[in-house]
Amino acid sequence: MSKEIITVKNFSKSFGTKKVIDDLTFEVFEGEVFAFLGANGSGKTTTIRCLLNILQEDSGELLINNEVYSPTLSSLLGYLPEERGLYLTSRVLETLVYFGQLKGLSKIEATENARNYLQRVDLADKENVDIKKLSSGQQQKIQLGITVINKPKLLILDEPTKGLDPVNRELLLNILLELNKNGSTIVFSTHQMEEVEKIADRLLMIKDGRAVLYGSVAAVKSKYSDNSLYLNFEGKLQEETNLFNAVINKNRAVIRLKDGASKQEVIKYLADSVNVLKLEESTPSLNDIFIQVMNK
Amino acid sequence: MKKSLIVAKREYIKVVRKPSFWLSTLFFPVFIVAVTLISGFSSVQFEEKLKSGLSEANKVLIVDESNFIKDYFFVDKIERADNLEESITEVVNGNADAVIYFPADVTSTKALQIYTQDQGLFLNERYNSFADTLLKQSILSDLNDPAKVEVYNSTLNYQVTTYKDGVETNFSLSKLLVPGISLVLYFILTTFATSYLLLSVSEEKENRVMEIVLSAIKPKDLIVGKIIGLIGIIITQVLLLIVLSIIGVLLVGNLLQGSTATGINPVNIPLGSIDIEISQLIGQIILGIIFTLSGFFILACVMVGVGAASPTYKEAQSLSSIFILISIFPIYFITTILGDPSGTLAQILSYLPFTASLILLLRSALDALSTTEAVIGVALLVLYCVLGVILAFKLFEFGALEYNKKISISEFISGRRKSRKIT
Repeated sequence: MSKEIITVKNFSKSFGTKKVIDDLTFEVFEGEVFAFLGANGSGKTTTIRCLLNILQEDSGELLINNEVYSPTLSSLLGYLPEERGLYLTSRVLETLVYFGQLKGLSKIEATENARNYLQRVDLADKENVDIKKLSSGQQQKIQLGITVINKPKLLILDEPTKGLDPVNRELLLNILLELNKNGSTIVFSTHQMEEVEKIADRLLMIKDGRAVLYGSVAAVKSKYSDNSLYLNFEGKLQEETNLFNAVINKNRAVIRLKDGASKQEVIKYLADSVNVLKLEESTPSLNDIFIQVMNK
Repeated sequence: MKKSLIVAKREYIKVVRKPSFWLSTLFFPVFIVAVTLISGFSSVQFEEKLKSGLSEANKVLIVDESNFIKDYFFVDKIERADNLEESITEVVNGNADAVIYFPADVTSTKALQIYTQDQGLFLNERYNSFADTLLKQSILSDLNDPAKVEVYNSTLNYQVTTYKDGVETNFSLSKLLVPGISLVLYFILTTFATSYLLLSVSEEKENRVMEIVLSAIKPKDLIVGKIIGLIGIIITQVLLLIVLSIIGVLLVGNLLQGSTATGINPVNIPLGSIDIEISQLIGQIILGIIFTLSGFFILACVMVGVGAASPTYKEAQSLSSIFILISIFPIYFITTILGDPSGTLAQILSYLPFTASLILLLRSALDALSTTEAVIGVALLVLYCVLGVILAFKLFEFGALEYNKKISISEFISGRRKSRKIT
């Protein structure tokens, strides 16, 4: 198993009398893409802020690379907060270089990284433009540029695609996947479940400050699977066996597994009794799971 | 410290790159010189207008029931008249410019009456001086002693010897040099410099950049960096003012000396008058630095706190102006403080957080600050600076990420919202 890069143990946090996070425990491993999910006000931002030592936890342990975070670790971190902005009267390149230097890069390295990034997001011709003159989408690209300028080992992104149009959202997800491919661990919070399905390896869903789902995306989806298979076939299929009930419509059928029956057994049975043209497992989307969990 | 210097460099470049910085820096001395020249010119013009009151007149009637006014004054446009009522009628009808009435009981009432055309509040007084001179010179002529008359009419020189604590004191204008420069610096620091700091903190909060910044740099390093940048800005401003002053002095000197000017040190600085002892000079410089910097530092802390506690720059500006006003409000009592620099008011203001620096500087300039008071003043200022830093950092902790609301005093005091520890 990979090494833990984030460790949160028994973390609790209250604001006044309101308990926002209650005994939360999870880990993020090096090299994975980790989705942090929850409804508005569920405590995602508070957890991230406590992890980055911007807010102080009431109890528990929050570690990055086995240390309590301090800005001395900023060279390995890229952080994009939910409430984010830019120095509007500053120029594009100098802003990127400034943050690169704050994160420990030399001016030359920061300038080189900044120019490469601007090239990558089609803003190379804007390096000496005041940020306030950029469109909202372009400004968001600069915000992401500030986050990744130091090619961080760990990226923490709080709702990174908020406010982006579909084209820029796709661009951002691709950049994140590239970074992940190059070894960065990515932790991101979002309400867009299709993004999670697209890029995340594991997820944590919290509700009222408590973990309600935690694990790999496949495992979570499997857990919420309704034990059905969709079959396209040729031949004669029985409507009921000791393994399943089938709802047949011409050469298509929905196979519902009976209690105690395993998918492997059913697949073997089907392969022996009919000509299987296509067989799909029925799994709910993460969106369905999210709604189901939040409505419990 | 490296990160602080990166912040300092950014803060410095950000400000000095703005045309408004150069305009305000250049405009400030030009404005002061222009106001001084205009004010001086207006004053001279007014005085000339007052003096020309009589020369522009065609007919001034004198009704003298005191019998003090000598006959030889009645020449040209100055005419003697017997009847006051008729003379006033002449003024009313525009046949005479003024009537000056010397009543018989002037020795007891010490009052004269003047009737003239209305020419506004100040110019209506234009015959007062003439009437006064007429009466006094007439009385003086009775002395029949030209030497006494000359002494009376001359401007006297005074030689004043003063003593303090049983020792003769020796006041020299050169003693004002260091405190004077410190006062100028104090005003530049409190008015210009602190506003840059407020803008800088507010901008990061209002533009929602603060959280990204705080993930990369410790708050302490961030604030220190901003203050270092600010000091750089002030040094630039002061150097620019010095250069401008030297150019101004050289230009004015050349103009005054006309075409024969050599161009080298045309202004005669009386170097011989700089008679301050070295030890005293060093003491003044140390006190000047402490008082000026501590005053600036206290206000800088206020700006950091206010900037962090207010959601917008506009709100921060309104709140901070209260503190700037408190800092310079002793100016309203300047006459009282200069008149009695060791008085109760000066003493009280010497020990209050926002006024101490200015008053201690003033009292130091006036040589009205005892060693004990100076020590107490310095100790208190150090204490206020420490408290200022603690409060500013606390407010920064509480407020820096509160983007949408102002920090309430009750929340701040109760300390309910635990935030990060400033390290």
